[in-house]
Amino acid sequence: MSDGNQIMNEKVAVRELVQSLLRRKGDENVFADSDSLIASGRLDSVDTIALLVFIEQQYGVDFAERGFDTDELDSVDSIVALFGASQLRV
Amino acid sequence: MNFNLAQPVYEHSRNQGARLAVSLGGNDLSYAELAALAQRTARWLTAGPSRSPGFVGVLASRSAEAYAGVLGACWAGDAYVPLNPQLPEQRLAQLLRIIQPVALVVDEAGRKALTGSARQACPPRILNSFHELPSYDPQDRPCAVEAEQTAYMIFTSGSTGMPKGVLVPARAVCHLVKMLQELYGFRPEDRFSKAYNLSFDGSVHDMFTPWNAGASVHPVPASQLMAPMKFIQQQQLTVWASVPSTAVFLEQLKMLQPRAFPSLRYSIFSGEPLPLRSALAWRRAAPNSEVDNICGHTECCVFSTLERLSDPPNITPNRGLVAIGKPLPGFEAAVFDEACSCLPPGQEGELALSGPQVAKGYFQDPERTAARFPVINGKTWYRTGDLVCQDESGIYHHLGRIDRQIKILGHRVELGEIEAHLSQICDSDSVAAVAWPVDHGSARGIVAFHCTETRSTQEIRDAMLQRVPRYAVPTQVLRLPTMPLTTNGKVDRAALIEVLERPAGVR
Repeated sequence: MSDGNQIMNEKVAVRELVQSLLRRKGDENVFADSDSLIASGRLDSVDTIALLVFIEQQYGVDFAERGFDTDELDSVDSIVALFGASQLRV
Repeated sequence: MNFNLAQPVYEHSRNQGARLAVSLGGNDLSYAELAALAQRTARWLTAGPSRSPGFVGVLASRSAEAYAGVLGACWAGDAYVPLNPQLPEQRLAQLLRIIQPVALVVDEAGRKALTGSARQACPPRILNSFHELPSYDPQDRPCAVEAEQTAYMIFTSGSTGMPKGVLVPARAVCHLVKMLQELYGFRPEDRFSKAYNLSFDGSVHDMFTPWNAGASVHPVPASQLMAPMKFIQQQQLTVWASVPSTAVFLEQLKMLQPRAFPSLRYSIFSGEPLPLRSALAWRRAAPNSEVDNICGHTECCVFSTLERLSDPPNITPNRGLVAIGKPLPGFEAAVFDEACSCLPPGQEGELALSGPQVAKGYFQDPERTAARFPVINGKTWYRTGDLVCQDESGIYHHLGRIDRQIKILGHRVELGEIEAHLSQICDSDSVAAVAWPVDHGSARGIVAFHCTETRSTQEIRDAMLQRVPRYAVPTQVLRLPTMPLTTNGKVDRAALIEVLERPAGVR
């Protein structure tokens, strides 16, 4: 699979997760890939944990080891960029 | 004695002016610089015709403007009122109309928050930039402040939909700071976290305790609040203070590595119940630190009781929580029944506190003040609303609330307030709000229920976002065909929780 396709698939999976987290709170508003999700308050700390667990399980990122900054998880684009960082690959 | 809270900063500026007072990542403020900013802000506040002390709104957070606003108001003898720039416009406008501040000090985030109705409710005087400040006057000192003068007012959730302003006098803060200094022996070399937002009363400790000791304040960037490991390490913090949720989340995510925080001497958790498991994990991560569970109330100036994690630990039976311990020096505690009579150890009742940190009451609300601050045999008590029990060794245990107040990440939320807004939005009394899920005594979210067919979930959520702070916006909004009622005709909250605990798809 090309890198471009892989990034696209990752983006779709992240969008689906974010959409389900927003829907759970009744937030049906559309969101762009660059929209702020955590700093804007649309996702809370419990949702952030769900995001972290998803990224750990899907991509083997060890947050316990590297820590995290909520800016890194603040939009679909920034989450996908996290996967792109070579040191995070499985 | 001068009770001006800016006095220690002024004195440190004279004796150790070059020492770090606030670390702002590249824009650090020394004591000399902080005192100069405070003094110039005070001179700006008092310019013009003479006036009595008033409220100064500080619409700012984690910025030089925030600290200049707080200390400038103190220096001038005014009372500061922290306002969170993330508040929705309607809520901010409502607060500004209640407060009627003599002036506002804003930072960049605060400026952006002043739109529409909030802008209209602003006082004429707004400090937008330090360039507007008069010059420094080496002769000017913090003005004389009396013990009972209001130092600050912090708003908490009110069950009727109107926020309550808690008026805290200068003597309460001076007692808090002096008492903590004697208890902990803080040093000028200490480096304190500043994790609490200015509008949360933990920030009173975050600022005035280190400034009293001549130590430094290190505001945690918002993006690192959930996972502050690197910040603690990079800043070599010696004192950490936050809500227990920080430890709970990090422990759940297995991010509390053993010996990760060797620099910490004290870790202070307050604002919600502290699970023992998280406290022990934090102690492994900070082996040189005491781990303290402090119970606090805005109406008793931040901190009221203390339990230091011991070996074996004092835990609250069947709850897995660290006990809330004993009253801090200066406090007298009692367990009240409904008639405000003291109950003996072993019996459950309402925690009541008396002492020099008890607030003056609620702003413009003598009825509620009289109800919550009863004077008994000449002594003023604060009825906390916390359901507690004192064990045979004198240790207090927190068992929940006697009212419908909950805590979300340490923020107080009256479920009655959420229901009051829901009722207005839905134009119906068939509404309810419950805390769910609840983890170790801490609410992780609010679920709103309604029966209206004329408002969509999205509309209700959007309307709530305009009315209450983000943390109080329901995390779920569910429509029911009818509201379950008890035999007394009241909303059956247990039935609502049951609905939530059914497996998904069965609702």
